[in-house]
Amino acid sequence: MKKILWFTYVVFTFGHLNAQEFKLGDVSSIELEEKYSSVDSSANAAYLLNKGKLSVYYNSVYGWGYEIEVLARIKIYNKEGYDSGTVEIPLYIGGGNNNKEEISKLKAITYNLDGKKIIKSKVNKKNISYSQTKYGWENAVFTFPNLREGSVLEYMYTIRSPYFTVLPEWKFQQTIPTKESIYEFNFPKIFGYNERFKGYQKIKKDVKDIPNYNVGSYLYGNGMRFIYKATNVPEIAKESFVNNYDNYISSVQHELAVAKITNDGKLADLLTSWDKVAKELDESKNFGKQLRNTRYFKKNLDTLATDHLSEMEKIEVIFNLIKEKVTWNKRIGISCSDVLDIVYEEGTGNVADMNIMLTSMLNYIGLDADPVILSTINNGFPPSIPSTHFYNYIVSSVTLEDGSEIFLDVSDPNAAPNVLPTRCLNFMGIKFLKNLRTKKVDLFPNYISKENNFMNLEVDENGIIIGKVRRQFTKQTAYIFRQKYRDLDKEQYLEKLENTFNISIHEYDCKNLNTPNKPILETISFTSNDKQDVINNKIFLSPLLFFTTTTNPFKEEVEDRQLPLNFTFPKSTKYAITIEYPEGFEVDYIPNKINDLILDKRFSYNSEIKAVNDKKLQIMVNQNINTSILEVDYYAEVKDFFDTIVKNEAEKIVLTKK
Amino acid sequence: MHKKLTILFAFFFCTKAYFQNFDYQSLVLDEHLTEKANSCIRKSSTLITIEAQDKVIEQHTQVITVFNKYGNKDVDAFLHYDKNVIVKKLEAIVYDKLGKEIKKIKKSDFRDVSAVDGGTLYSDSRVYYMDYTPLDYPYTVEFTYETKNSNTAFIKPWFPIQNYYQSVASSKFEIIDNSDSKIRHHKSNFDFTEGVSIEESEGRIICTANNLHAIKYEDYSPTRSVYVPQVWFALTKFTLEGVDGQASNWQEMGKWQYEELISGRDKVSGETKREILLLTSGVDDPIEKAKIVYKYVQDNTRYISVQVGIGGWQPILAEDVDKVKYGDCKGLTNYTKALLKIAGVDSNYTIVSAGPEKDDLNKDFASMQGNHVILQIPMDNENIWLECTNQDVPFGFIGTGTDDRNVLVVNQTGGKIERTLVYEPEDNYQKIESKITILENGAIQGIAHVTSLGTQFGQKFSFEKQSDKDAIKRYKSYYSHLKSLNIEKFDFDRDDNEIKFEENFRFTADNYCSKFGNRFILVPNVLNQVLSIPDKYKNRMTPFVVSRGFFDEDEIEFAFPETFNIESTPKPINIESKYGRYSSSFEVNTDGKLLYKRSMLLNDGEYTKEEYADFRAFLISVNKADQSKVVLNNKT
Repeated sequence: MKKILWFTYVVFTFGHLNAQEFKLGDVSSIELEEKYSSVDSSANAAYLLNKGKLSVYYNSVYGWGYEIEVLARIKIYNKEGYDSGTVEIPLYIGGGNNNKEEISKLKAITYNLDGKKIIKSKVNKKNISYSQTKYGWENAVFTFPNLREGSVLEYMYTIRSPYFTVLPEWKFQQTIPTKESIYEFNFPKIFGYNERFKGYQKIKKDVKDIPNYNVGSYLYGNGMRFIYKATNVPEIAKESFVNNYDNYISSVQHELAVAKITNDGKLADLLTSWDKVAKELDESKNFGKQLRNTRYFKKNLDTLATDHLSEMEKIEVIFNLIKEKVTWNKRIGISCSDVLDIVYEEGTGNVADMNIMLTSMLNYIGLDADPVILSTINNGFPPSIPSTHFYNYIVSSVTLEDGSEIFLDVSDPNAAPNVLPTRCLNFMGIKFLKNLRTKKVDLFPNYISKENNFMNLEVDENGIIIGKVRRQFTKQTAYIFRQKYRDLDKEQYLEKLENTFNISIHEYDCKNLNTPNKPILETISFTSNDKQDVINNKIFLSPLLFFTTTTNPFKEEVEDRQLPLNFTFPKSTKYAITIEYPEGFEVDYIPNKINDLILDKRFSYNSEIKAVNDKKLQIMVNQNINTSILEVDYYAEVKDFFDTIVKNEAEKIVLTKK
Repeated sequence: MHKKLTILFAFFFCTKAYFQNFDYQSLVLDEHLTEKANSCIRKSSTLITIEAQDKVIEQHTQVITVFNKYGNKDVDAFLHYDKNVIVKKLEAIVYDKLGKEIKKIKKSDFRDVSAVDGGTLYSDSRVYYMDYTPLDYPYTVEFTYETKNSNTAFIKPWFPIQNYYQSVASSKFEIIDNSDSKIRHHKSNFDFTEGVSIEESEGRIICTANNLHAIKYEDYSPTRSVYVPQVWFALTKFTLEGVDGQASNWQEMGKWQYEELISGRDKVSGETKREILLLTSGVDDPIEKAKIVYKYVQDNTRYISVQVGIGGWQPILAEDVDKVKYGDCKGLTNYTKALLKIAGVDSNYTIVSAGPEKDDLNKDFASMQGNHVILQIPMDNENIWLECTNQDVPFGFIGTGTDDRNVLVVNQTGGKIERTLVYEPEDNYQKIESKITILENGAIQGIAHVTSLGTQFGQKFSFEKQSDKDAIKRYKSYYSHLKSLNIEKFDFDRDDNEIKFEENFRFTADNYCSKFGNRFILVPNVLNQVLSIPDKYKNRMTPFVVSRGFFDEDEIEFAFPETFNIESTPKPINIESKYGRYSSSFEVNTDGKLLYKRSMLLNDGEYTKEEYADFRAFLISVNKADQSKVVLNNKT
């Protein structure tokens, strides 16, 4: 697990990295003459330098805040790199007048070589525009003048921000290669910051004390300086089976962990450990207080006789009760929107409202339930720093009498007991126990989600196939099915199905679409529009018909893939097919049996075709991916594995007229 | 006592605020309106009043019911505005399925952001939008606004059908002229569906539509605006960003645009002028001169879009482009025109509606139309058209973005509708010549030479710029039907004079021939399996279009190991239809090689929905023919 996830290699350099100066104009003719990037010779543009200096300080207008100075130098190698000549700097302005981020000292210059002479063209102030494209955000936007193949671009700016608790992420890695990236972080010692690294690049780090750290209006004594440096960083590569690229961009980010505010001599500890986080959440009125609040449902539950029920039945009862009373308002988060009495009364709530409600009700009827916070796939990896900041979702976890643990999300109408929405299957969550301790829990499913297909086909001598298929989707595959099709008009869905499988549907039935704790059962009777080849009195039959895997999902050329392979959940796919062929034909050829296993059974594929009698064939195919995530070391093997599947499924059965 | 009374009043007030509007219930609706619909326009009502040449008032109310999550995006509760627009009223009310009011969104609760699209650096247009997350379906949104606009060059057109999968219960659009600006209008496609009508009288037009079925996107459908009912409006006397204009035909419209927006903006620096004169000195042929100027522009500028105020319609000064070396389509076209003038070549600023689908300016109705600008060099036989925003495209090649459509060419004499270059199916030509060897294990290895012209050149000419890695990736995805494809070597040759692109590549593909015992099955169409079969529809609702045709010829020679016999070859295939022509043939040479020839012509055209099944049948038979198989036998 560790190998898969955390990766950044930090080297301490003890005094080799120095404090940074910020001024434009340090462009040499060597840089202007450079024809290829030394990081990646195929690059269209590259950062020669990207550096930032962030200092935390005190301001008389809005109190504590930070200032970040940024300077970037970009080389354009050819016209395809001109996109890097336009720069957008986002500023958060949604916090009201005194809490706006402000940009200043924005300067930008294009450098070109005219013979031996360096020609400078400045970006005119009036050509810098500010637009609010997203609510709460403003972008400073400008483009460099006189762009040519070979130009070097430089810009710098300073942003002042009041948001000093969670500092911006410094990205060493960009969409173009970076020759050198330096980030300096200065802060007074009255604060302690957690440090969060991401990505696979080697980062050098240096730590220094700063005596007499100047924080602005007041002098707060000693400070600290961290300097980070990365060199020759390649661009971010796009690869398949990665569910969130942001997880892998090489970066560092800091979050405030301890603070000793001294203006009245008091010491205040912010969050330092999960135990402290747990204590704080327990006292919070939007979490712990609501978790202990039983008054709004007491009467309802006291009249329910649940004692004779099994644990799972009890869960079912509470699940249905909440679903009946409260509708999810599609919002996610980790704190309750209001006191739960009101949520219960009004009948709508967010994820936290509903799952905290679920947890306390389950505890009330005697089960052992605890809340679990997690970070959804789109939100990125949950870091190991003890802080709720990076988390955005709550579910409930129940420990059953046999010691096993199941997860529940009552908010999403397509989720079922132990089948969380797919977006929640992101490594690990933090469980808050009743004794105010915390525990890390693995969110990857410990069950296998199945897709089973049972199909009976009849082929006639013209190669026309009629058939009936029964499809079964369980757990995650059923969740995804419901998510996609539950709201879709039936006719629209059938048209889509007919066109995807190239069939005409005679009869269709779908069971349990609105009962998420049961598998989806779909039955389709059809005629295939994909006529099988008949050549020289031979029928060439495609054994899996429309279920044939025709392309390898890993088709891109990646020489040295770095990112792990994320399959999100363990899955098995099964095809059991019988084919009845016409009188007067016999089997001429059937593809060979395949029995392929790799990676200690974490991946397997079996395929076998055999004759049942003189007019019937049976085809069995099983494909299992028994893991959610796989180390990148297995990339080549997995790619070959899929090649085998594609090759095997392309083979045909040959029937000959006797 | 007093206290109690206040509470009682407050209570009353509350219940009154949350009233129920039974007209907006959405549980019981006519099936005609719910079938295949994700949402329904229950009512749309627009009143446009022209108060003066520079004052137009728009009052609009729409009530839309959303049936499911797919309908959310079609609530269309947003309002575009800019500094010429005063938003007098803006409000939305959300009702639940019973017609009970659940939320009121006031003007100050709307989100107000810049309306900058992806390709634009900066624009001063803005948009108000409603930020609302539905809790339950169906729900209904009543959206109302009133605006006053001092720009009158664009009058909102009437499109009763706004979205796919959206039915229309009632839509009414009324326009009244209280000034002497003279409204002109142009209606089309009223025969698309029943229930659409128009009442025309002097200074007042009323359009209505009732009970329209939802439509959906279907393969090969033209853009919706080509076939749905619509009415366009324009004022003969109008104002654009403070500039007055008068035009009732294209000649006048072009003249006004030329005089007010374009002329006199073509000065460049002395240095650039000298450079152009130097580059073109000694060259007499105007086309050769134009090529030199075009290359100069391509080498020295790039496209950046900035749209502010009148700058949305007027090119920035050629002098400014000269300074910063970037501009939008208007700026770069005007700059090229200015440099051509220095070189002594006449050219015309040309307004076009650009996009991969051919989109005409309406030749019978002069108004502010189009979204892009190109340059015309008038010639005696065939005019030359220049795309000035692309640094790589060959001189005179406009490709599928602006080809074959009505455009407005403007100069000092006024405006004129002309047609841009047409690419006939035979012009869009591709020839594949290949030699392939089949190996004993069923793998193939071969070389191929591909020549592309016309729009097929357009799809490929930028390949040269790609890295080798990307080129190989592209081959692999283009020939995705070849398993384990390995491109061993490739090179490109691009001829900008002939506008011809040539590729040579050497490849291998494992397991291409499927093996059955000692038999192999070979599909001889190795390199041109690209035509897919479009979806089938029980009741197609929309007409269809093949925007551009093409003509492909393939010739492949196959060689086999000595021990191989040809057991069977398919019969020659000839398919003829009004949609195109297909033929394939097989021939065994004296030296035992198999020669496969294929040709496919696809005609362009506009067709009715009734013809679709026939067209699809043509594509199915072509697809089937492309799957024809040769059976080979290994004697040993």
